[in-house]
Amino acid sequence: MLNNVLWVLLALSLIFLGLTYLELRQKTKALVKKEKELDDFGSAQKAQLSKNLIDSNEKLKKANLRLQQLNVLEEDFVSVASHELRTPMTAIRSYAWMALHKSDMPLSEKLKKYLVRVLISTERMINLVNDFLNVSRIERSKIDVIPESVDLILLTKDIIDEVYYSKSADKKIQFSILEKPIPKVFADPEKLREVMLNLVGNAVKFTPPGGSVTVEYFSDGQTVETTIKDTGIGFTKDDCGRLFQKFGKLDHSYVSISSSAGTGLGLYISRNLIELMHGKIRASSLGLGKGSSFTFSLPVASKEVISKAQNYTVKPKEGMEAKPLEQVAI
Amino acid sequence: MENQQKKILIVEDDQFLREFYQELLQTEGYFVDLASDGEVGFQKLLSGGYDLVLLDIMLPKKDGLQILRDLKTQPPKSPNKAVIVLTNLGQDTVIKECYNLGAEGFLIKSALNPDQVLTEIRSYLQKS
Repeated sequence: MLNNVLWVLLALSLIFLGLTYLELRQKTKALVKKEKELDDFGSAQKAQLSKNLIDSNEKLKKANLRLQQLNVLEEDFVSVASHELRTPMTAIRSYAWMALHKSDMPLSEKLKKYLVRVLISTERMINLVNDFLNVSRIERSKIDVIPESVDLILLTKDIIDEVYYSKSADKKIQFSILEKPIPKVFADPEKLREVMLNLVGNAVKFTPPGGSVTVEYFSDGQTVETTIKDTGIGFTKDDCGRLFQKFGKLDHSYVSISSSAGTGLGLYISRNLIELMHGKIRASSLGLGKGSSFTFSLPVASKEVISKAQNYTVKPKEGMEAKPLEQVAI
Repeated sequence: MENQQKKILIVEDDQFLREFYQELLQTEGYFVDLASDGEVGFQKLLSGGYDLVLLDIMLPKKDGLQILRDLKTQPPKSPNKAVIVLTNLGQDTVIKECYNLGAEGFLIKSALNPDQVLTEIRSYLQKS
């Protein structure tokens, strides 16, 4: 009897063990399968990731190439657009001039005034286009600075001759240069010319007929300071901070300097050029109607400075070609 | 009038500017011939015999630089005394290339008032 019971128990245990074994085997199989699946999934994902990386890399390369092409296109666009803009403006300017000077009937004073204003505004537009081109070249590092020893007094005389014959002769403005022995400066003559033309041109523009413009120099042996002083309209303390900003405006404000007939870019361009040449520029005025003075400093062309010429040389950004500055009429 | 003997060719595609320079120069007593594209301009330059040629750079059919280049290999039947480039392209590289290709002068249209254009033209005519 006991024997029979034992046999039954044994059989039941065996059946239980068998079932457990079967279940375990199944679970193991499932696990192995899962593991394989996971493995497959992982490598598929890895392959996908690496494909994505290659794709992104390709896309980046293409985008980079496209950007380079766009850069060239943009410069082409800016140059061609400015050329296309200047053509009709030249026509307006030329015909307004003809109407004013070569008319086949006498002009009334009113008509003369209107035509003069058309002429002045067109000239201003042409200057704006040129200044835009210059700002775009400076901001996109497309200009170079090649310094050499420059005689500031000779340059000042040249500039004053040029400004005098083009604009100021009929304004009867008295020019004087307070000459004294000063060392030569180390600067790019073309860029320095542009700055001087702008500052002397401004002085003439903002000084009423019969006023005076004085250029003077000061040197401490390290730098030379050039000051262009006029007896013109001057500016307020508030305006002082805006003078060297683009369009005479501060970044967060739309208030511009009143009564400026220029492009609003000249002093911004001058500041950038002077800073590129390791100099500083500043302005001061005793107030409205009390004249203004603009001072820029440049390093003296000492042996030490010339021996480190490469520190003072600016090259255009990599892959860019240096463009000269457009000439802006005074 | 001594000016009447002076023959000037204007190669300019912009109608208003072309007619403006024509009027300006005719009023001064010059004989003026016109071309409104590079191909016609080149043919007229090839026939030659001008005291002065005012040549634009950006032109339909053949640009001003190409005209100057072609004139180097194909000399005109009778020589032109001077070719002045009159353009609004003021880039140094273009200016240098024009001089290298034989242009006698370079004037930027937008930088000059009509009386300044005349002064320049007179001085080139005197030189040539």
